[in-house]
Amino acid sequence: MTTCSANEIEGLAARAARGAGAGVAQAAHFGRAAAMHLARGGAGADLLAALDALPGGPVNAVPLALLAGEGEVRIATGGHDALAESYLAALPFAARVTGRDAGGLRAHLSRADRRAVSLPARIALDAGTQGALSAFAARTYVPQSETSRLSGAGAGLTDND
Amino acid sequence: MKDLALPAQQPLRPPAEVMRLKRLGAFFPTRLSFLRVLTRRLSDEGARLSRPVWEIDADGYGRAVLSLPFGGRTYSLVCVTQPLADDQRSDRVIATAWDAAFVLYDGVPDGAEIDRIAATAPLQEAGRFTERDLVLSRANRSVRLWGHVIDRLRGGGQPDADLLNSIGYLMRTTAVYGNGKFGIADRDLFASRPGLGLSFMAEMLTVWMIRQFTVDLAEHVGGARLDRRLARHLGVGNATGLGMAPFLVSHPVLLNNWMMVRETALARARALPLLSDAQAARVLHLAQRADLHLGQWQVPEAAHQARIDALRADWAGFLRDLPAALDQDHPFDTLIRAAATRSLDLQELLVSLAIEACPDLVDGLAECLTDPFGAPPADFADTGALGAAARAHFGWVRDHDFARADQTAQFWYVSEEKLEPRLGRRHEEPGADRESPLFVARAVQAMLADLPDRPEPVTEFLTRHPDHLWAVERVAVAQACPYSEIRDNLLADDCLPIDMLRAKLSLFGASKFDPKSDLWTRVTMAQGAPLAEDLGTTRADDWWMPVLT
Repeated sequence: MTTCSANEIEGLAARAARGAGAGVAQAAHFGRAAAMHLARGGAGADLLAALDALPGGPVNAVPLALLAGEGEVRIATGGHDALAESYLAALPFAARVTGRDAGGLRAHLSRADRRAVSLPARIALDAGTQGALSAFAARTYVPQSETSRLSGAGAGLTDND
Repeated sequence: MKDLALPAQQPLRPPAEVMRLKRLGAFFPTRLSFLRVLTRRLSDEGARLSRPVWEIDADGYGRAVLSLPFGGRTYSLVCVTQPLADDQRSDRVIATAWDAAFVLYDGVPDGAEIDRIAATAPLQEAGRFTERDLVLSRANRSVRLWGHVIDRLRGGGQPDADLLNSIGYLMRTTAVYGNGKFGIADRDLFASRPGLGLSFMAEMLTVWMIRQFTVDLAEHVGGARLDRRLARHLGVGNATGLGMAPFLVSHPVLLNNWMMVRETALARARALPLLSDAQAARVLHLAQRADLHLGQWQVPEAAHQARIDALRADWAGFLRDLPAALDQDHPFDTLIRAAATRSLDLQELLVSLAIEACPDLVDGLAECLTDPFGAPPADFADTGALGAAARAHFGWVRDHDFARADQTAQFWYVSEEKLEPRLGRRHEEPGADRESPLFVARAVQAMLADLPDRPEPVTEFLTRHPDHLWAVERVAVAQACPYSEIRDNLLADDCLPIDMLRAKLSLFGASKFDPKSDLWTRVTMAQGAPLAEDLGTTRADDWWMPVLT
């Protein structure tokens, strides 16, 4: 078990989502929700299940449901209720679950009621989740080559001046 | 409560004029650059630096702690130095060892905490840190100037002023990590604290304290005190590569807010109806100082030196006409209008001069150098409204034909080798399928092309085209934040990352840009800035365009 900063988890999860095939915006939303999810004691397995569900599942569905929602909204969670609640908790305005039905949540959003989203200084990340997220994230890295090493950053390898 | 009227201002320069790569690449630091804001605040508080730990041997190796009160709390720079073989000394991210490592610590570390940091800080990216560690950094010596300064001090002399000016620093940082990296504290943990809440204040505090440490270290190893005139002219170097550029794209609201501060400051200066004799004299003094600064800004690369020389020649002509111009109504507005046909370099130096000359009108704007509210919601009534907003705020993307190979020639990526950010050639190298998201123009153009003829709810459109969510959100931000986007195609063959680096570094307060390629640059931070002993004195906030006299 590693304890991480919230931004580490957000960044890792967002990159993992990109690696798993999510769009740029969906990956960023997933990153924020993932940090909140683990901070609230949610299971790392919920994050991996959401990435496995791509291109379906909550990574695409939840941001769309929250895009411009105001007042009562329904979120088709596809069984990922706990993670969907973390998406709500990560919003910078008041949002609360008001009910549940088969395959989804109902929530009330109040954009005018802004709130500070606060996360703890340390968030625990189990090794299995960390490894799986890192593996997804690694799909966004370009393999090393001598060409890229020598020219990709535009600089030489030693600086003794 | 007393009502305070806002200063008058002229209209802001339009984003279509300001947010172009070529202009961004001509920016100069201003008195609203983050380092200036920091040192002004430190000086206003009369902060007094202490050195509770100094365990450095005669060769300069060991550990030290510098502590400083700021905004009602104390912060400490923990410094760890070690011998480094020449073949290990690299400014690249892929380096694995450095001459010095630093942590900005929340409070004053006890012995156990110093031991922990001394063991982990030299590991940098390979280490794990705690929420008491606010910033992580490392630096390498400038081998030439370090050796020269030590030799001279040991010999009872002072460094050669020309050599000191030509290099400008004893050490250069090669990364300054904040906001949670490798386990250090998230920015949110201290964002509400007085002093550290504005953008990059913790990083700037680290840089300024590193600069002080390098002066202290040289005096310790050299066994003598540096002439204060020379010591103040020592900044801290920085080698900046591609990693800094994506931040400007991934933080559109913050970029907007920084630019709004800068442009509002200029607009207030332009609204100034008349200058007093004292104000006019101050402007002339500053303009002449800028001329000297340009003369002392010498770089090895011929093309960039030619650009500096051309600016200096332009500035000399500008200086001849300046006294008469300062007698006119709305002198800064008149000067800015008259400069519209001059080089971008001259225009942006003039912007910086106008802002510098008006501290009472502009300094309060520093409070806006942050992003407390985040991105606005993408609440478009339907795809018709979305399309109208996109055409209004992203009309410039129509100028780019992404079917042309030269318009997609480059791709930004992260290498698996130590996650170093790099730039590749899309049509010649593998990896473009893993490119980093700096393709805003292409994404918005693609979204516009897919919009239906008959308006429908945006969510229905996005259900069919989920990848357009990013473009939709960018349009929503651009609608509320006019300076949020760089209005150029960052994939194009003629996109020079160096322009983005210069924009961001100038906002930080860096000067003496010394580009080494189109992809990376060296700069000097805090040159001319107050030494610790200068805080609380009149010299502490008078270091625009520093010169060695």
